[in-house]
Amino acid sequence: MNNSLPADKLRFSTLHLIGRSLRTAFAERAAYRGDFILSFTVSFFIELVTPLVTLLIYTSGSAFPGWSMQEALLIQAVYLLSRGIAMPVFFGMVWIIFEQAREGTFEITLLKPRSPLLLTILRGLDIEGLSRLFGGILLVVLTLRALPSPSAAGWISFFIFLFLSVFILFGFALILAASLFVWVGNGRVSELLESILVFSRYPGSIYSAALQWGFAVVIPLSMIALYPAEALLGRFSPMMFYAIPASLIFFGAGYFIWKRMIRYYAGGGG
Amino acid sequence: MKRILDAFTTLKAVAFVTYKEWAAYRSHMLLSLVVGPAFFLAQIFIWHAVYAGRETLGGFTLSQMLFYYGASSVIYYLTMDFADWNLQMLIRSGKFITYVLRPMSHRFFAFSQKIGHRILGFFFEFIPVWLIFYFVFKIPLLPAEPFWAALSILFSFIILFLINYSTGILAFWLTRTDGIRALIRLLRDLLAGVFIPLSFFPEIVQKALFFMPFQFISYVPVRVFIGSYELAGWKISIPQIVAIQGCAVIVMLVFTEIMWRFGIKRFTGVGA
Repeated sequence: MNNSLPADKLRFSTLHLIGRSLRTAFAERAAYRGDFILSFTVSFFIELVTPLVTLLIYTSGSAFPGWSMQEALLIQAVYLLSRGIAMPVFFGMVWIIFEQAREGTFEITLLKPRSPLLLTILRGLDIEGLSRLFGGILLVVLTLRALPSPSAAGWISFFIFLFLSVFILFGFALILAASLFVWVGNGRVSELLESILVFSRYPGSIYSAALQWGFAVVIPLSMIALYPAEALLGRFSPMMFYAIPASLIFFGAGYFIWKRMIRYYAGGGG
Repeated sequence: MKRILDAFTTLKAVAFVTYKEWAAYRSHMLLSLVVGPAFFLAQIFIWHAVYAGRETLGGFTLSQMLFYYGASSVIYYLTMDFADWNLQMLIRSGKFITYVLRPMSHRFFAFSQKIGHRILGFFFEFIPVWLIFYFVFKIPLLPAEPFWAALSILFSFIILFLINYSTGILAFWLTRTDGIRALIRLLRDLLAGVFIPLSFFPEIVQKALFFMPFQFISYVPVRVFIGSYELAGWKISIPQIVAIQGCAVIVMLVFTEIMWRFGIKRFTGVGA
């Protein structure tokens, strides 16, 4: 960019910044179009593995206690939908921090006149991950067609819970990215995340009562898919409402950890 | 004989250097102490719920099913590799040219690297996770027939490497292989029985899977570890299925060699 331009012209609004970042992300992937199309498609199918396992369990004549196949699949469809929103937007930043902390180039981001968090998120936008979103929408529609229509209260609760679900995943992304400032070059943090999120993909009835409480108010994993799905099914419980403040606190904790850990970044001049 | 000794010396040197290189990141490997048991804990909850009031599912009792996932988990620490990522990165960046100039096959070099990497994995992943299974989950993961289990795991180690290496070779044509690698990884894990035992698939699918190389990565070594093999209604003795697995190693070696000979002709590099 030309430094002789007036300062006000250098300032892009956040919307412009998002627009430019999306265009750049598309342009970058368009260089290898075949690979992009394949990655886009595969991302969709990878996420269908869990529903496939559920399908195989039910077709073998077994079931999760208290849940029909369609109801269990709805949880996994909502999980896919929530991931479909959060992963392309927030989780690319984890790999950006991974690279920049390892190479010692994060100060380039720090020197820019915008929030490092915003810039890192925008730099990490993952276009091909959007296929998960389409997959989630498709699976939610397909499973809901075989279930009674949700009530208005169910839909409203669903959207509120889905919003919180995305925020929880954003909180996880912040914690993972922040950990890479001190745990430099650890490419396996995503495995750690998956090993935690695996508990959010199944009906709550498979866990003990203590764990169900833990997943509601300590690490609100049940808010990621179970509670939004239960809202659509009209199965309301007090626990899901306790999970609302817990979800906001979890996100706040993630943001706090990000702000604290960014101070530990040590670079060598980019 | 001298050639074999020379090859062994090279293998030992490359494996040792790789071991030392990755030992610097041993704390990353220790993450497996959380990841593996956490996934297994989820399996315990899932299968305890699914088995409620049932004796067997997909030909497994509950304890056999947990043993299956436990064995699958620890065997993975002995066989895993990322030869596909490594090779495609070298080809895409042009760094591969430095390997073309070396007086040894890159496939052998990469295989030696895998040995070094997995020896480290044995100490920092396999043993600790095995002990967690033993003391925390009370599952003693001991093979029914140790010799055949060790041989089957060795074959699985080689087959997984060759499948991944063949995937990496595709970079000679495609340059960027993220998509195709993800697709093959998905098919490989799904059809190898990593997510769910293959006996849960419809019988016609099981029959097709029997003739694919994927079952030899995870399903076969795990079944050999357990001490019985069955797929698509075919019960095969342990020595026989390990022998078939050995044949699959040879087929994959030939396949990789053919791919390599076609692929290497397409490589261009300008110094690295």
